[in-house]
Amino acid sequence: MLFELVNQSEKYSHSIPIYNLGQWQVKSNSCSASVDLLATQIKTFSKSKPFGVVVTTPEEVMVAKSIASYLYIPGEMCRQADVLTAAKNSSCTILLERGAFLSPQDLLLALPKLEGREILLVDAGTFMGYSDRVLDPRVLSLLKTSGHKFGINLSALLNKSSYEHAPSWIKNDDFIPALMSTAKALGATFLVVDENINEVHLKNWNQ
Amino acid sequence: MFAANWDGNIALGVSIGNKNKLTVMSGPCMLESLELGLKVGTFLKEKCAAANLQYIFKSSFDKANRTSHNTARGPGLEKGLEHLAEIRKTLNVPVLTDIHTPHQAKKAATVCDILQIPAFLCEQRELLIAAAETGKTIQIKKGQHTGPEDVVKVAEFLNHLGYNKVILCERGTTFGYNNLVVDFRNLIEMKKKNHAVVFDATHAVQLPGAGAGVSSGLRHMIPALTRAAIAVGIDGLFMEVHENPDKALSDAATQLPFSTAEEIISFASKYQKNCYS
Repeated sequence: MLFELVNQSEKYSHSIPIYNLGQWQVKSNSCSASVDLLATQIKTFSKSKPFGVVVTTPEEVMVAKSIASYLYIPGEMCRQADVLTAAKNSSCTILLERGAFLSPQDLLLALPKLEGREILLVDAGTFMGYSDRVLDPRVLSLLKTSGHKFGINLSALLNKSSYEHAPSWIKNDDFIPALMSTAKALGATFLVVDENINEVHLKNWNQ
Repeated sequence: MFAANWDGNIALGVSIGNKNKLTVMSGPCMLESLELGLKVGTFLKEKCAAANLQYIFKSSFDKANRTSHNTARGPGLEKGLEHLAEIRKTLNVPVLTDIHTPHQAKKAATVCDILQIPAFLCEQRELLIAAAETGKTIQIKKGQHTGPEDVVKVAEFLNHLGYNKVILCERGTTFGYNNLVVDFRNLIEMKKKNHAVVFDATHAVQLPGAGAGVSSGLRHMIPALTRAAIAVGIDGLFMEVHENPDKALSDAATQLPFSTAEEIISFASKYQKNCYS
């Protein structure tokens, strides 16, 4: 299975789009209120197939839950009790991303807040210095013990940091096959990507 | 003068960045009761005044991101703001609290002088915008997983929107699972574009999630780390204090007892002039 974080429309035809309006990141100078933004934009999302939405507040969950099939809770939000409670009270499948700062055990402690929902656990890597995240196989092993399906956010693992002193070799698409093989070998059943991943690699996932 | 021409003025005569009077932001982690808030706030106000330091009361009305799902969260928005209003009026000091959703920003701003953005949410654009729209001072906790340049970018994002009342707060950096380390270089990096910088002495010694479903911590490290931060140079010091930390409903392992808080205030007063950069 492939989930694709998109802003407008998906690049990979076989992916499940997860609409990400970027409201949880200071990466643009947009200052529009996100609840209105989501409420407006959600009408434009293609309904031709199931889709998901990145949500960061209970209000956004309320907007999305009757229309989207999936709710994606980003790592920074994975412990926000009100967001999790709102998601629990939806009928959506929840993609819960582990924060890069969070131990896997702490993520598992958050699961009771989503009791009753189908949960897909997402590992986006573990913080290792200001410029890097690493895929820790032990984390995937622990996620597997939860009994929930899990996958990796491949794009987050490869995301280039703005840290001035970041070594140049650490974020390299040549590592994609190793990351995907590791995840698959440990039982991951899906990937989360954005448009920056070369489609050639994604074909290998399904083989 | 700070970045984007902010003079550092908070409220009630308190102005961060006064090189002769360090600002102390302190109080109980969770506003467990009005009585606790007043007791802790009264103690800290007196000690800071005696030490010629500026004082801002701090406490949370909602611990919205606890490690475990069944631990106490606090009095909630309505009751918490009632308590904070009473504390502000009784002690006549500015108050600081943290917000977790854009919805909370407007309400909290009717009472509080500083709105704090929690570390996990330090890049949540809509929360930052909602806080800025209130016109109050914003204190941004640098995420444990965030580089110093990234939190400076957040401050510059707000400056770009025409908003200049921004304080950056260092609270420790993830150092393996369930551990934090203080990278004092961040106090320098975060100062690069001349934003106000505060050191959070008590959260920086947390061991997140290391206490079997709760966070534990290394309280005994706090005085030394505080001395180091003052030596590097800070505009303010943030610390959580409780009359009985072992019985606290949150951060029991890191909140300071009155005696240690007094020791730190005394040290801060003595060395701020020598070491402030």
